[in-house]
Amino acid sequence: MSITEYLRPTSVEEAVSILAERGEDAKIIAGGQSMALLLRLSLIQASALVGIAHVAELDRLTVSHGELQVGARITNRRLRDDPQVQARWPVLAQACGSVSTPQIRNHGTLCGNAAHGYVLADPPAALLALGARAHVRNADGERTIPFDAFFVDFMTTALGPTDLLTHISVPLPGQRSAGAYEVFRLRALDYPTVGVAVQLELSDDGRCHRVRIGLNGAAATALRARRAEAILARQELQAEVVAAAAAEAAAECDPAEDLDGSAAYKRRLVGVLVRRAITRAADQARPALVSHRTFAAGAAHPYSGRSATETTCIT
Amino acid sequence: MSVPLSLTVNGLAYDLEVAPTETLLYSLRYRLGLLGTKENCLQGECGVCTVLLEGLPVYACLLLTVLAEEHTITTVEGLGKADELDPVQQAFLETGAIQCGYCTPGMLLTARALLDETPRPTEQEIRLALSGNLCRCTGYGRIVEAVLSAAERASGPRSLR
Repeated sequence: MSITEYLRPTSVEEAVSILAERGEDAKIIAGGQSMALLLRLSLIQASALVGIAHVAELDRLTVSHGELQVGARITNRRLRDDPQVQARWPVLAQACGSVSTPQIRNHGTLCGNAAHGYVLADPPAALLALGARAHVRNADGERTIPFDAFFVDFMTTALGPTDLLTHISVPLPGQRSAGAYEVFRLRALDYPTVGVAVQLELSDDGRCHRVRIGLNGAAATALRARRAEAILARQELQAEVVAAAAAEAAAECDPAEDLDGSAAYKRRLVGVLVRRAITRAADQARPALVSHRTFAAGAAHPYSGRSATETTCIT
Repeated sequence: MSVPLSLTVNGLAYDLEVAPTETLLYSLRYRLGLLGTKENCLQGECGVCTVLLEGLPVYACLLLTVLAEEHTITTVEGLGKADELDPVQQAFLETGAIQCGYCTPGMLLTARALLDETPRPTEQEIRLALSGNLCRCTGYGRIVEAVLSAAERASGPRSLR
């Protein structure tokens, strides 16, 4: 079966009713940065593409009800560059800014990236760390899926064949919050080997009040490092505690052995990147305690994922 | 099966009928005869197919033509003419930043887009901007020099045709 139709709905209702009618036979396409490759490799079993380029309401990037609302047409580039996203949800700006190359970021969307559900993609770890939610519409109505329940298995999400992911909402982090995305990749245009997103919130006494750790490339799909999070809960984020959490994250994940490295190597990467991400986030969340280790503000180095002042050795 | 649409390429409107899954790379090269945009990996991992969509670099091999409708498209043919080269083209020639030439159209367009947005980029910014364009010949040194040189000599903002 091959694609014989390109449909151009102009509203969410129209898109959803096409999906309701056609089911598996119709596939949504946004920027197509994942879809185009699947099509070329004949991995799409459908006869219709449903473009959302003409659905105006999906092209919104706003803050409403105290949450960031990212419509299905918003590109990774826009999320990387938006000053509000950089200021209030920096781990999301960093992860979206880490996706592949400028060309891919200029046209690919965050929602498309999430719906594709590839384990090595950058944004999923940040969506997990931020407690984001997917907003889905189909002919039966609307529902919300927390990202904790969204990434089900390898390239399998909670989206069904008649679902349209209309937007992603991201809650505003608390007052003493900070987030960081650490990633290791071989070349700028490679997928990461491993990516780690941390979003934490400190209580008044500087202890860890809330923390979420998202991992890319460390299992069949993106996942939370929940045992590592439990180690940090209510603790002062000193080096020993952070190291213990990093070691637990390395132990609790299940990376696949492939050309990017052995499972043991990837576990070691997870440990190093979790330690760095927690440290960087904790440093940023403690404005009164100035850290003498200056990390580059925001972005991880695009070639290696390492912060600008780190040495070249993985320690 | 085929989708009728209008593409605006280098300032000219073309009426085409394309397959739904046809890529812009295919349409540009084989329907419009614009061979300056090159074909290589066909999976968004090399950059030779880079074109500008609304002035932003994208991979034509991953852009379905149906999605390019109603957007301005610039290929290397729209960058400059032999007797009136774009400053970036001039800089590449003078610096010797071209060997086999296969990466060059993509490099030129990405560099042009960078300078339109950031007129005086640092070397790091240039390397980041070109991180989606591979070169197997030059080792990138002279390419970066050429972009720095073009930035230095630019006499003001350019608008793309």
